[in-house]
Amino acid sequence: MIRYVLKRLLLMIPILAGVAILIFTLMYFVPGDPVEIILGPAATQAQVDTVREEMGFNQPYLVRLGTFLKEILVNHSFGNSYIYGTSVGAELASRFPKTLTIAAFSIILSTIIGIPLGINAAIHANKAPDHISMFVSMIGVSMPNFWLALMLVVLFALQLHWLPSSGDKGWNYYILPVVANAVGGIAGIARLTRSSMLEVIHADYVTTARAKGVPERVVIWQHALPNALIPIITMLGGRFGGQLGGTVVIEQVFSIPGVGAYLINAINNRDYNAVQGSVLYIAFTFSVVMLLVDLVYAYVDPRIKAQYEGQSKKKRKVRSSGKAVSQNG
Amino acid sequence: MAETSVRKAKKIPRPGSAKYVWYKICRNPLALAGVIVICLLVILSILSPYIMKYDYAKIDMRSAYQGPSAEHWFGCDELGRDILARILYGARYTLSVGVLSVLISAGVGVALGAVAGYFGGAVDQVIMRFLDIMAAFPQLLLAIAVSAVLGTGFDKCIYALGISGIPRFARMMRANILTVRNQEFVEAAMSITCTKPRIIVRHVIPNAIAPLIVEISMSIAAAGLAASSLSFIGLGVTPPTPEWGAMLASARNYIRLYPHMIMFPGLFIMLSVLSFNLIGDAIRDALDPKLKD
Repeated sequence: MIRYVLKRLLLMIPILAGVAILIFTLMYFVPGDPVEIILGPAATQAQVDTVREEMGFNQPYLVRLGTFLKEILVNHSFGNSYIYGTSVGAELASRFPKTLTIAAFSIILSTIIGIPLGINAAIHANKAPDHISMFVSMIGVSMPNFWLALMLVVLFALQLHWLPSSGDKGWNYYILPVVANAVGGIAGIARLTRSSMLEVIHADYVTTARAKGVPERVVIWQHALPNALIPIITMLGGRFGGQLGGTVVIEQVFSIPGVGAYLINAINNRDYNAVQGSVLYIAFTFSVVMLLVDLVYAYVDPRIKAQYEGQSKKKRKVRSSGKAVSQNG
Repeated sequence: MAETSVRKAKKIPRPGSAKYVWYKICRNPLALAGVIVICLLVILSILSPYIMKYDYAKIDMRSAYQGPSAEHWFGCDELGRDILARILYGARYTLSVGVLSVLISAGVGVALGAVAGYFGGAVDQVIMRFLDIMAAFPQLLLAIAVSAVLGTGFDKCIYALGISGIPRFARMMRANILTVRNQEFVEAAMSITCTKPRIIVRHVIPNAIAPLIVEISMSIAAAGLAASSLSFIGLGVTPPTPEWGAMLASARNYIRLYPHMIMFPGLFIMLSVLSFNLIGDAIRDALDPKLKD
């Protein structure tokens, strides 16, 4: 298992480096630069040229890429925002928890509601409860999360005055964003749980369990679900990425000062450092989550575990005695 | 044998054929409703300049902010433009962004995946490692980053979404190619000295592409949603173009007093995405016998 974890950790390094280079290259090709926005429309061409020179915008691609990577690796910094002059890293560090809170709570909410819904649909497959819950969940995946957010604001904030409509001054400010962001996830997870439950529910071991008189509840939760869980876990990683992306949009609706709001503002101001920093923050988080999902997956799926454990056990046994190997096959 | 004759008697097309897919869609009332909704939206969008009482761009400050009425079914926006007319005209943007961007993702993704899967080795490594990097971004974030480079506009929105969808299709295609490549009919083609491009185009791709059709139909729905998200945050299609996401972006400033401006464009996004999803579901049922229950 440790060998597998190490291998996956090592594979992360080139991916993360590639992500940094790709986002830098993308930003390099953005037409126009922040100098004109910083100096305002009244600036003369000479002023613009001087500032451009000072900020290093005239240097060749490779030199700028080198500086960018060196800053990240040596100083652990994304540089300063061109517009506000503040450190992008510090700004992101204070904003990121808000984005992560929304994304994490939405994925938790999606999981704890979506999986039971999917199981319920699978148990009643092709009967009324199944058809109804699948049609409702189809509506759920088809709804734009930001529109749902707006409608929730109209209902719960503006009409009923139960919840605040924007800002982040307390935990109750996060209810609407999390719910709006989670609905698509609930529906998606319910649909996947249903189809992967249906695949295992007719398997021989489930029939065996029923035949020997195991209560139906135990059959579903202990025999069928663990086996249906593997594709669901894989999907959760991707879903988390979706929730992170969704949070970027949701933050706009609720004026939550998270990474998404910072990113969109930075794009409009051509504030490269801030754009690069925000995108890297989210992409790094996503990669780490995908790594964790792969590790959980390996832990849950006995086949992957066996593959690596098998090797180390074999070696140990070769050292102790040659006979054991042939017995292991 | 008996099964075949029953199928012939009932005139059921052969499973896997396009006719069979259509047959399954017709037998599924929800999917059929989806097809009808999409067709209606396309027709109404094309005809809207001729059949609507109001022009989608006509400003009439006297009726600004009006709620739904017999005169204006969905009410009017902040400039007094008829919302129904704008929604129907705007259907062309949301629907075509969804379809065209998926065509780009699928086209480029299939080509890359086919090359990587068929040739393997160093080519495969280079292509797949690059796609790994692209896949390290959440898809919407990649679309946001690409549209930050390209700027705003209808065509650029299509490119941004199209590029961000490439990795998924390429990976699927590569996996399918790897399965197809080792089958007997490819070996047979090689043994009669078929040229490599001919083997790829005539034998490998057609057999590897079928599972992708399901993915394509589902992706159109997702791309439509992503397009409206991009426009909503001001990066895709921008106002005054009546793209539904863009309409929501400008309507959200009036959410306190005039929520009708927000409700209708969102309902239409939902309706069209739902239709594509229902059609995609029926296509999957028709093409993927494993999921039949």
